[in-house]
Amino acid sequence: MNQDRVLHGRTEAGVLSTNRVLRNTYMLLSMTLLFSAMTAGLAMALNVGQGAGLICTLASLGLLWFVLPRFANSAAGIGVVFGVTGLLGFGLGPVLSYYLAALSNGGQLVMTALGGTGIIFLGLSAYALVSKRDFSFLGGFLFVGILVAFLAGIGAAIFGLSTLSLVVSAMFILLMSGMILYQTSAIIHGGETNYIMATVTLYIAIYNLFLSLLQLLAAFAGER
Amino acid sequence: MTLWMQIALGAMALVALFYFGPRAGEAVKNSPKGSAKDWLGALLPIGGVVLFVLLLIWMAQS
Repeated sequence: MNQDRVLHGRTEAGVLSTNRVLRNTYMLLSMTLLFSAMTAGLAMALNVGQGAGLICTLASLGLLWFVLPRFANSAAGIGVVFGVTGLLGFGLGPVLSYYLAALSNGGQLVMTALGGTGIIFLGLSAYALVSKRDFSFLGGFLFVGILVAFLAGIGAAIFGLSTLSLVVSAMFILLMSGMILYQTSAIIHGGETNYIMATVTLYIAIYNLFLSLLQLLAAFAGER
Repeated sequence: MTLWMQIALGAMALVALFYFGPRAGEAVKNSPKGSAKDWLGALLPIGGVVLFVLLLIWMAQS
């Protein structure tokens, strides 16, 4: 009987389900962030090179694109999520080592990017949760925008186009901010009921926000 | 960047293009359309992010 009770236009069961997805998502997200910080630290301690970092990043994308969708509805999906985030963290290690070695204020910039990413994520999540706006209309725009930015970023890396690389970083900050709004809104409106997929989406948004912010900070405030 | 890294990145770009390219059109077509008010509601916090990033860069420079 209680299952049919209506709270603000939604059934109590729907609200409870949303809260469960939200709680599980944030719990798994915090664990994956800690795990990838550990693997990044391990890569830095082992002094892993850029090549190994790239291989780990490519492997994590392979898991993300082709393996995770098959296991997202089973407990094995959690293992795949840790595989993706662990490999991405390991691939991040050489990037952080580069900034720390190449810039005299590298440590300060890494910490600024880390803190800035945290504030942006918390601020946007709070906005989506408190305003309860539906951002599902951003889906198509974000899909195309991320694909274009991803391809442009690879083009910039292959051909060594530093200006395009900065433009891509700025694009990623905007797109990943939109992604946080979109995914959080999807959870609270029942559009996303799988906490594994929600976690990975938010993790990728945070990861890209951090990397893009770090690149912009290094370009405009880095001291050699 | 070494040659094998460039080839690996190029291969990844092709995979992304052929795997996600066709889906991008569908995503745009099937995505609900937002009103001007909806877009304003999204652009407001994203504008805040832009200002915050500019502030971080200014703080890191000074």
